[in-house]
Amino acid sequence: MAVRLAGIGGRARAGTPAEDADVLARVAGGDPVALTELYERYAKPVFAFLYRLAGDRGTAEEILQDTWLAVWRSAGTYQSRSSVSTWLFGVARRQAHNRLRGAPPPVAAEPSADGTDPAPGPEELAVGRDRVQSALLRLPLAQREVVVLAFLDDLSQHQIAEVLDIPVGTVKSRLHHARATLRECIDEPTR
Amino acid sequence: MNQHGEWPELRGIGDGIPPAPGREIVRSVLLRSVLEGGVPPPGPRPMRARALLWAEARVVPRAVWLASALVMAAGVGFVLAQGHAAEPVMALVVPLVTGIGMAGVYPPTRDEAFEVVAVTPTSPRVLLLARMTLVLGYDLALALLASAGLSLTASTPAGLGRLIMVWLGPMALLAALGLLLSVCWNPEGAIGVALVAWILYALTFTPWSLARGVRVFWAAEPVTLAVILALAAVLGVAAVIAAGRNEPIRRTRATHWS
Repeated sequence: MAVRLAGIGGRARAGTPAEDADVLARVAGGDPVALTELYERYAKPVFAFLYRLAGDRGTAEEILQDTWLAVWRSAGTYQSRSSVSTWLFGVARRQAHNRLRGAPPPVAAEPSADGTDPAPGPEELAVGRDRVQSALLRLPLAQREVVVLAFLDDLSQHQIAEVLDIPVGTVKSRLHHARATLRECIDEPTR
Repeated sequence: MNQHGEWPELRGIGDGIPPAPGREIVRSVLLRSVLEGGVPPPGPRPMRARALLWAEARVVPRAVWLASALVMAAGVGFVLAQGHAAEPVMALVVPLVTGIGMAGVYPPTRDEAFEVVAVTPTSPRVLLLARMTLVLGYDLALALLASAGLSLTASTPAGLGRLIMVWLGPMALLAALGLLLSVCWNPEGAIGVALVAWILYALTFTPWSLARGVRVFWAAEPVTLAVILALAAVLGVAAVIAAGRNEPIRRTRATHWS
């Protein structure tokens, strides 16, 4: 089952599953050109996923590099049980966990003590983005990745279960708890 | 699963995401892969082992192969020419060849290609094991070949098995001792100690009683042989462990004081 990558971050130049498998096989054979080709196909959706997961660009870029290093080293372990895109998101998710587990979440943009926004001007344009990011950062990592895969990459619950290697019931449960947490955010009185 | 309508707090989740880094990140990945090491190249393990052995065989000085073959051939020639019993000659020649050969097999810093090897992720222990396999295997093959050849003549009345037992224990012990000293000290010292040990043994063949106690290490009895082989194995393992140390004993203060 291939990840459709239909979300906003998924508008990449992904090839057919057979083409992807061929590129990954060349990566497993030690072909750096194939690694670049795979990157050009999937960098955008994977980076979007990592950006929403990590909460800041620098960390997302570091995890993206970790992900491609893991792909370079472990491409030979790919056994075609899932699509390349699913496998790739699974690798990215593991690298994100390695990097983010135990790390405090990045501080979301908060109003300063006198009530003024510390990032005025053009940042106002990003109010919606900050709001989403602030909401996501309130979620535990396990719930955050489910939410991001569901709403950013538009994956079905079955696809998310495959990427995360968890039962569908767990996906549903995490979505349920994430929704409750996010609702609490909305219900909180604004400062 | 588009449920944004039910999740208003996530509306705009796809907006404002910065562009992914360019393809230059792949170059960084490849550089990290080389620098961090620790990952075997693609391919089955036996194939990699064979490739490593083949590569190391080209790095080990040719003199090691040539000297071993020449000394072994000289021993066999002596037995055949003089009609001498093969046991004492092989018991002297085989440990000498192997002990000195193994003492000279390390460290890789003496290789002409050391600079190239040093930047590869292959650990010193793996290199040492590869060289041990090559040199010990080569000397063992030579000794077995020579013994088999001599057993076909009248010079080995006790048979091939007895002939092998005569040289196997001393060979293993001297090889392991030389290797350990080479790793922990230096090759020249290791060769010197191996030579001294061998000379002590050679003296036991003379009427002199000097160093007669050394002969126990060369006894061709099964129990003694088993003990000697076990001792050699311990020394060999110690050499492999020592080879993985960051700073060999002979190079104290090789790194900066913190």
